[in-house]
Amino acid sequence: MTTNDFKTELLSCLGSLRAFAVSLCGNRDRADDLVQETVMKAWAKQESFTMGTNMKAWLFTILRNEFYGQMRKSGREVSDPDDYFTNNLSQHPEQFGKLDLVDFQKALKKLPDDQREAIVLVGASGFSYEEAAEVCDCAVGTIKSRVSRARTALQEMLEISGEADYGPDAIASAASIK
Amino acid sequence: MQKQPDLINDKLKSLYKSVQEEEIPERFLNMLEQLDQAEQRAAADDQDTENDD
Repeated sequence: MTTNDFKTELLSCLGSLRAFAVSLCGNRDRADDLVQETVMKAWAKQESFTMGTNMKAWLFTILRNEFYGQMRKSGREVSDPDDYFTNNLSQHPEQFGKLDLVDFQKALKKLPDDQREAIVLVGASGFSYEEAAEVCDCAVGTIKSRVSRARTALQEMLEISGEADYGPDAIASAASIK
Repeated sequence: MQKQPDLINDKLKSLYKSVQEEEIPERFLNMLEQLDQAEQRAAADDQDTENDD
């Protein structure tokens, strides 16, 4: 693998990496610092990456470890409640069609970090349950149950009806989050 | 009747895409450029050192 291939592939993952970073830390400036740190680390250990394997998952894992590592060191709260996904969302309502995305953003912010992370990886980043489990260093079943609980909680918070295919346990845990 | 659209996933994707599809900030492009150049310089320096010996 040449450095150029590595750089090109890394670049192609940056948009998604930024979106994941924002979903993790809830603050755009901090998210970009996190991405910067991740790119530096990834660059430094590019020899350990095998071309043809999943670079996106590799980068997401580095970013996630970096994020939780920083959290442990600083003892800070994981989410910054003031500034989530897109702070300029209201400036471009036409771009998103519906203003209720702002409500959705608020609901997402209320989820426990492990659930938010799981639903973002599977529902938005395009990872399979298996890949998400690898990124989060947990069992596939754990990811599945987190995604399921996240969905139920979001439905509760947003009062979306239907899709009643979740068990009483999921509903109970959703209620406790509310 | 059609299957109910998955509102949760649709919204999640919209939010995510709003960041994902932004133009990559200049700072990252510059950083990668600098990393690349630093690497090339280092390689060239190695070459020089070898020649000096």
